[in-house]
Amino acid sequence: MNFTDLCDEKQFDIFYKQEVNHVFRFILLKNKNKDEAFDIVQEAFIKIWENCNKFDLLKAKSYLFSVAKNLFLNAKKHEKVVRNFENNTTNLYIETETPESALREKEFKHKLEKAIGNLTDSSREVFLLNRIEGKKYKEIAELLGISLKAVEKRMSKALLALRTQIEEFN
Amino acid sequence: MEDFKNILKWLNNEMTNEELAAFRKTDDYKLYKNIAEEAKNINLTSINETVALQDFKARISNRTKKKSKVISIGRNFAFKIAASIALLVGLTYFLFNFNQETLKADFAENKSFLLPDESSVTLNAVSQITFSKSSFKKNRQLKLDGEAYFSVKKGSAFNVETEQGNVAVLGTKFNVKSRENSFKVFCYEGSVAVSHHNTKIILTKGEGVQLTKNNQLVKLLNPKSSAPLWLNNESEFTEEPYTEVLAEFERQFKMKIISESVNTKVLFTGGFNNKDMNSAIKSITLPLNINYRIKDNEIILSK
Repeated sequence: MNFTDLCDEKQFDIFYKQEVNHVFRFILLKNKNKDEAFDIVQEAFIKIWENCNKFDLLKAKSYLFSVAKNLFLNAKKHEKVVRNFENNTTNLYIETETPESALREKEFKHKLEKAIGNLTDSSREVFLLNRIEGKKYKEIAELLGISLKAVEKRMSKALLALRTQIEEFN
Repeated sequence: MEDFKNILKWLNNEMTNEELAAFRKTDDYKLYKNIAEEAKNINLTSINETVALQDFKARISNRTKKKSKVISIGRNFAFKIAASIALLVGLTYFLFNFNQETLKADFAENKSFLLPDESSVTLNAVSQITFSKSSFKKNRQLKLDGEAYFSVKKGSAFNVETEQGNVAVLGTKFNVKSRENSFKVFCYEGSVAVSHHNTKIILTKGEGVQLTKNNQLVKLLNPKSSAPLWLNNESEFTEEPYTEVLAEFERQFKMKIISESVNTKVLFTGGFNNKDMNSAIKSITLPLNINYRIKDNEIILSK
């Protein structure tokens, strides 16, 4: 078997593990509440699972992101799903905090993180999708439902803001 | 002032090698190199995939709550009697069939055999024939359960008995399919006589018959066909009940199909490849807009 059949539970599990963090971070760019973001991600995967035979892998990936986005937009209308793992001792979220006494090499990273935090939501979203998720501008435009020009504008804005801010920190 | 057009091109991986080499020498590159590279390593909250997957599974099973009951067989007296009777019947059957030869093909296989009279038979998956070892040469008679393609050596009458009807021939090539929900005979050479209850139909080359839902024999015509498709690992169906299509799938792939939530009474025309399960399951579900899900050796169908 050289293609992924999403109706096959084992192959779906692999797909899930590969994609879950990408979608989670994408939603987290919009919704800072981790639990809510996680609910949205799970709902999006359930939609894929329920329609497993309608997608090949490539379509499923982009569908996953757009479902997650729509779910986020409708989130307020939805009832909050009850979580099953509230008493679970294993940690769902993995946070890698950089200690204050960061090594010198980490200083730049620290400044960058701070600067990214100061970006406007719309330019941060575009910047991180390109840098962390490795998405092309065209994909980002499709994902967010905006024009390619708008993506490029937000990206330029983000870059300029990051550079000037980091210079100011110095 | 930066040339954002170029910077954007660089971050979108659109530059050719030469363009990239030239760009690396610019001030823009020096200004943004660290930002672009380090951004990949910033700390973002991640999810533990395994824990998340467990939670996902729990959510799914909450949605599709299935109730199943276990019926236990009581160890009572009646059960013991039934077991004794079964043993007796089994023993009689064994003695009676001592002289019987059984040839069979299991799940997911086709098998060819040479019969004592030098006729040949190829059995489709989960099919068997039985005949008497001692008298077959004199009296060419066999029982078929399943589907088989025969190439019969010319000679005395050759009879194939099935649950649903009998097929008599002199010397010819033909296919007989006798399954729970399907009875079909097709003649590829010579002629065969098919009898079912009180009807008798003679078939010649390129003709066949199929039993319909109303228990009537209907003629099939396909003058160009020279051998059944299943010999080439294709299963084909013309207006056959979906139950039979699923049953054939189970036989070819040794899978269990759970079809309670779909209508299996519809008639299906089409086919599937007997060697490629992934494309086969799509061939029989997509046209009917049915969803499927593979779990180990089970396939669950849903609307």
